[in-house]
Amino acid sequence: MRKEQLETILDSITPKLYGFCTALTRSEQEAEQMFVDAYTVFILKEKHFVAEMQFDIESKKDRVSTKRYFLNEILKEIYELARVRNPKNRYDNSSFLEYESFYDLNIQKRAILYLKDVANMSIEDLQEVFVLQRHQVIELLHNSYYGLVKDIKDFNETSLETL
Amino acid sequence: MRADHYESLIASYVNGTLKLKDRDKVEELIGIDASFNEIYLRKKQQKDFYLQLIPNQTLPKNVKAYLRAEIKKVNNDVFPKEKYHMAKKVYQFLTEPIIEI
Repeated sequence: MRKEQLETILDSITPKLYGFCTALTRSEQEAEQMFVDAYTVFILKEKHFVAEMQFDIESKKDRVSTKRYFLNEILKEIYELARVRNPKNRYDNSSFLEYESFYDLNIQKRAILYLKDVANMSIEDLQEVFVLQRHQVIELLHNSYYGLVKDIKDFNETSLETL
Repeated sequence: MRADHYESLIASYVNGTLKLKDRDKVEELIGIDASFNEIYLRKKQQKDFYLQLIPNQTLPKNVKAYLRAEIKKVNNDVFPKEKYHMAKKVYQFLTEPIIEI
């Protein structure tokens, strides 16, 4: 694969990758750094494979599968990096303030909610990113939804009790 | 089959966790039965509510340009010898015989 082809593919998946980084950390600067670091780790690991990769830009099937490969692999690196770094929950953008209940969740739960509901990934792709079985992905997803609304439920119940 | 089983099937359909082979069956149920349709609408509302709680940060133009430049930099560091490879290929083409008898 040529460098230009690689950069074109990366260009098309950058918004999803960056969005994923901002789901794992509230700081935009940390998100940018995480993106660059994860890509560097990925390309260093896979440079021979990527260089030898046969890619026909005219074939839609080739484009889709190559894009999927890069997306899943880089998401995996971002997720691993976030787990190791465990970014602090400080924010440098006030728009993150309204997602308090989301950022209170742990990294794994935030990651799966973002990828499933915002990035619209299939269960099969999530299995690949999280290296889990189908039933484990579904279980994690349900726990994450529960965690997301737990505080709201608790708050509503307490307010009703005090009335 | 019990009604709560259908409810969880509809919930899986809305959440996108239902297997492909069951989708038609659930769509048919929602289409023909008013009570199942009601469950579907309830689950859909719940799902929309969840979506509002998850951030969907868009990529600002300046950040996109910065990331593109960073990717280019990394790629140039990782794949620095493309010209050398090209020269090597030309050299090989010129020095090695195409047909051997």
